[in-house]
Amino acid sequence: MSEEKKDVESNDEKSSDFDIDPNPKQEWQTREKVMAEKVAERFELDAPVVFRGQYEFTVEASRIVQILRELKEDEEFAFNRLTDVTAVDYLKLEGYEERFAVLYFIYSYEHKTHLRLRVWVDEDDPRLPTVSGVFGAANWGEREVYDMFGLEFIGHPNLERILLPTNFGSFPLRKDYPLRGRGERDDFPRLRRGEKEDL
Amino acid sequence: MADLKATGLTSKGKIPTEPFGDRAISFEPEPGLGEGRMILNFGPQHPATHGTLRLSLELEGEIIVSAKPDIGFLHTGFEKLGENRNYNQFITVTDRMNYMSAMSNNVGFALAVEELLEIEVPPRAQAIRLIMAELSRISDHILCVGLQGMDLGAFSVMLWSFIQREKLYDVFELTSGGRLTTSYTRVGGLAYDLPDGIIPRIKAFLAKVPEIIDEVEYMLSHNRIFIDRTQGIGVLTKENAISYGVTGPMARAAGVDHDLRRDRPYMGYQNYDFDVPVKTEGDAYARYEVRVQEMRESLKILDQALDNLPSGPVNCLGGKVRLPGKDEVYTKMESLIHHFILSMPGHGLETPKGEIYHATESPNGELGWFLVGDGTSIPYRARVRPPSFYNYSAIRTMIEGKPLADIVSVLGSLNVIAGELDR
Amino acid sequence: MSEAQHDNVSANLTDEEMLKYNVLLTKLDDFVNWARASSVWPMTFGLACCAIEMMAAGAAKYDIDRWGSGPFRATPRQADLMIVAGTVTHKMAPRVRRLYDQMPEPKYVIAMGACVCRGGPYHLYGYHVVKGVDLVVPVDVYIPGCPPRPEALLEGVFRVQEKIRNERLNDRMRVDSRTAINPRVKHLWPEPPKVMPQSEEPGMMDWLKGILFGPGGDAHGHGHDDHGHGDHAESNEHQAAAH
Repeated sequence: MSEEKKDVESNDEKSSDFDIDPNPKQEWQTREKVMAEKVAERFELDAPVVFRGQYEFTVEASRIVQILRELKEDEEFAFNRLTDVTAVDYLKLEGYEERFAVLYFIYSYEHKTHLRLRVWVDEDDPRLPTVSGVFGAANWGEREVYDMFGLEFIGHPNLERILLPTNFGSFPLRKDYPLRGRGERDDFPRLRRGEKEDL
Repeated sequence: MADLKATGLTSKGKIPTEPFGDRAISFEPEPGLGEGRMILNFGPQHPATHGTLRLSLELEGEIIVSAKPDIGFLHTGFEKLGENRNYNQFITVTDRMNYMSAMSNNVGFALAVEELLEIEVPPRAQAIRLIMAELSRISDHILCVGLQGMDLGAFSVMLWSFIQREKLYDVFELTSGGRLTTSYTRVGGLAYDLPDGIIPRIKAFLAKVPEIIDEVEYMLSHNRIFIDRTQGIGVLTKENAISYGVTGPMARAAGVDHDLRRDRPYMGYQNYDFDVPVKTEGDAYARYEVRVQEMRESLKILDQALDNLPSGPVNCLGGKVRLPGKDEVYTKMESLIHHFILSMPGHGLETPKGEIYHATESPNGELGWFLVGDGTSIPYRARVRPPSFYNYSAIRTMIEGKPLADIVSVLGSLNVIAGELDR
Repeated sequence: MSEAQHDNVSANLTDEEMLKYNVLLTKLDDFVNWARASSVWPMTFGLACCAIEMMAAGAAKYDIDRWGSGPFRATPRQADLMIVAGTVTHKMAPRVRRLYDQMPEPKYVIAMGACVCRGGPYHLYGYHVVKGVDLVVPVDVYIPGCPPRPEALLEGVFRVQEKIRNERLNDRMRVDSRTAINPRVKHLWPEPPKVMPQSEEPGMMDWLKGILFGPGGDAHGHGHDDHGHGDHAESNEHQAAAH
């Protein structure tokens, strides 16, 4: 009991050498802003979308491989890691150019900056070039996008379903895929031990 | 088969002519393979896979010529689930993602939503989250080290580490009510404040942890078999680690000096003094060493955090994000309305229209959340960037051209969590 | 000293009295079931979160070994009990069934956790989750919880033991349909194993009766099982072929 009391007391008295830095974000947000300006200037991109201090550029599908390669190899940018590849289906949101968008999250270990690139993909022709030749991480990332959204990455070394069984037949993260699946749960009749089934 | 029938020991008419149909494993070399090559199916049910991983291996003798990883045996559709649950409900689902360190996932998701809403939780809630995230890092690493030892024959290490994990379970149970699936955080705060008397309990546990780490290290670091089976095994080069997006202890063991807690601090990590252990070997032993070192660093952080735990509320009640307290709901009209708005279907949190990516350093690496807010209380898209997924994608570079027995050692050192890998 | 005392005690007893202290009388059923129930070996088969709790049940604090279920076997061939611990997905379901098929009889299944019982958190929206493993394999004991505590798993093992204790050898030897594959779940298996056409060879009960009563001892024995407990599809097939 005495120990508990002591702890409570010591908690209340904050030690003076404990410095509190309330907002560490400022430092990297200015860094990312400078970086984004440089990227926009170099590749002549439109003004980025800025939300909560995060920068996002929209890139045409035909240029994505070249831009990512240059961003990776140029030491000025050194975006050497592809953090993630994913897609969004904007079917149920209004005010967007196309139905699908593929997003590339890249990160620079040297400059410690994040950047997001967006590629719009047409609904009728859901194809775009692969970046798996630039980043090894894109191999599985793009396979997952294909698995979930059915977007085809041209030139991908092994574009097949990664998570779902090969005979699944639909793309579940598309917004027109029903929320409760397509009757998967009714496919299985119940089996009980010792019960005489109609075999 | 004929002998069995003669004895009559099998049920009548039940013996299939071909025991496995056409799915029998072929011991003949496949056409197109070189002489002496064969295909070996590894997993999904194998004691070394720690879950449901499958590898199709092409072997020449015992050397792996090529490996084809097959994942998705635990694909439960979290991201679709995220589109049908509101932000607070989805926290329960994040528990089930990386079940070795559920608290880290809770914290990571709550932080991402708070980033989207642009709110900041009170300092006490931040400190408690940090304590829980670090405790779950210890609980993850201690079990991972134990399992790595178990795979290589040192079963006692796993039992010893599980004893400590049980003590951590008690701490989690006292704070959140659940041993494994904690669901402790909420958007804008915590489910509950810390219970009375938990801090001495955590401190008592932490006082013993260095001793336990020493014990585990003594068992493994001086173990000839363990060293022989981990040093130089499963080498991941720095270039591959960066290219495949490998993060966390795996990347740090390969020489990538990066830790989000230090380089892009969140949740007040900038206020704590700790080191980031980095090794350059990139083999299974280096990963083990990094994990052990990280536990020691977590202890440092925890000591500082527990000594400087601020007092005050754990929920931010100003922004109409958290439910008000019951005493207020029963006495104040505004609070009652606030409560109703937050809990009625079709209402709830008001998110802005926007897209954010927020990453935290989970025990396995960078756990990122990409959220698309559409103005409702349900995310339009909730994408998780799972560390295990990208960590495991580099498996081929580690095992191809190496003996079959290396796989067990490599898989033990990767700490691939199937729930996080497949989601 | 103790040996001498022991000698004294035994020296005072006749052989018949000695027997009372050394012979236990019990039913064969009870004896066999006692042995079986005390060594239910589970298969190492962790799928998701529940597997961690299964490990906890096997580890130092809960120590499932105290009830004889400690040796987690890595192969289904050596296991009596399959603890399905974790979410079963559509991709995994054929593997679960196949592992079940590979286990020798008698075998028992524990469905551990809400996902395995009825889909759990993925019941409504889980497009890739099998809504209960009982759709794939027959389940003996259901353990609710997400995940269940190790104590709950221990309780589940006790229930299996209770079930084993109440079984009778005679019942177990009957042909039953539980190992056959239900044609309604055929889509899970690309090529279901072919079933042998019915032969004229005697079944298991006939074999046992042959041993007990000698050849031809029971006139009604032949073919009795086929209609009582046999596989309907096969018997139909057989009848159709006969007609």
